[in-house]
Amino acid sequence: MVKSAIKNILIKGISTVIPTKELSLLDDKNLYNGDEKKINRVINSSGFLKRRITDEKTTTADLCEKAAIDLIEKLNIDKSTIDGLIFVSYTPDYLMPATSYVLHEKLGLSKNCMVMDMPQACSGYVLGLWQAGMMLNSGCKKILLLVGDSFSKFSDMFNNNTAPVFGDAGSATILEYKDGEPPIYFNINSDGKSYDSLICYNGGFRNPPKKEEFYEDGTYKYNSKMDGARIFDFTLAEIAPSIEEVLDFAKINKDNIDYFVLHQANKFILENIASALNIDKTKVPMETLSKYGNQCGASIPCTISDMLHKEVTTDKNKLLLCGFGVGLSWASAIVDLNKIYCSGIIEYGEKDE
Amino acid sequence: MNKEEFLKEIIRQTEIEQEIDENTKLEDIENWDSLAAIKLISLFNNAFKFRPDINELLACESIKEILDLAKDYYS
Repeated sequence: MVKSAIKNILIKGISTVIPTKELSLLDDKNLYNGDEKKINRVINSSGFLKRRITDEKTTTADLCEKAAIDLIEKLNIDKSTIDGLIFVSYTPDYLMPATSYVLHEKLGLSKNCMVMDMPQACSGYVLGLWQAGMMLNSGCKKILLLVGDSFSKFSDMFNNNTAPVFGDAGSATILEYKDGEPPIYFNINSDGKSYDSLICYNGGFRNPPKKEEFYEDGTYKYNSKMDGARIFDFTLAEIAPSIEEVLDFAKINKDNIDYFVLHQANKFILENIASALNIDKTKVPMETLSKYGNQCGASIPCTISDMLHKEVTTDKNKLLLCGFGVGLSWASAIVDLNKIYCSGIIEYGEKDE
Repeated sequence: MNKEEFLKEIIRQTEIEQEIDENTKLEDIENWDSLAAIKLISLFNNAFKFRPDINELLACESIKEILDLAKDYYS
């Protein structure tokens, strides 16, 4: 594991954008051939109900761009002072170049700006904060961290395994170098042994697109797969202990954490983690997943924007963030958010295609 | 928890609606899917503070094989 305490980072603001188009599992006749009993069983066990998905024209980068524009405007940021842009996502605009270059152009950022893509999903927000923290302590002054995904594009409508789960979202976070800011504490882990527990087999260079992998309507069969049992077993084994480790490392008692903002994997997983940690469930927001779906890396900033908007804009809050999933990867961070700008939830796009 | 009680909990928590016994094959259970496997892992963890090896659990083909995974933990 990697444990680090990174000082001098000030989080100034967080914005989250979700697509306007909403799907409800109750209305989705493609799932389980419309078998209501089976669909209700999934809803009751997992907590998933509604999710937001992008229309054909909209990509993750578009959602992140809107979130970034909101932050830049509301915080009145001089764009020429942004000297780092990180785009964390598994759903880039192109295979080449990195989407961060596309966003650099669209946002009108300066040439004195380092840009990079990080292919990460559920732990991506924490990993992005860590990367931004290292850059801020290595010469950068202001970082725009964009974290989002549109897994609905991987998960074809007929895939009962992944389609009911994922919702699309994009987020933007501004971080600045500021002398004397207390450390953000991190605990980061990886385990490639189960890399195929959550995988999209087709479309890369191991399995490049073939003619027979297209549906009649022209959409591509990415062949995404999620091994739910294996991932659940992983979360039981690793997440609560890793959260205890970062608390020990930071010498912070869990009673002093205002909220545990966990990746919104599903309600059953979150309840099990809360029980294992023996923490009050009111400190673990779980409602985002039923409203918007599992938003991968964007689920943590979206949960802050949606459920903790008032708290982080009006007061100082100590949050423990924990993302876990694709990789397998799991990463925790303890951060203070002190009267930051927070957008709440911004909607973008057309309701129906 | 003894073996009979554990079997009842498996039926309740994985929402099995048909008559089953130790010899029932998992492939013959209508609701047996990844959601049932998740509930089963949670049940092992909560009932016995024990997580069976995930590969052994996913390789089980019958209720008997599942019950045997917890044989050292029954009261």
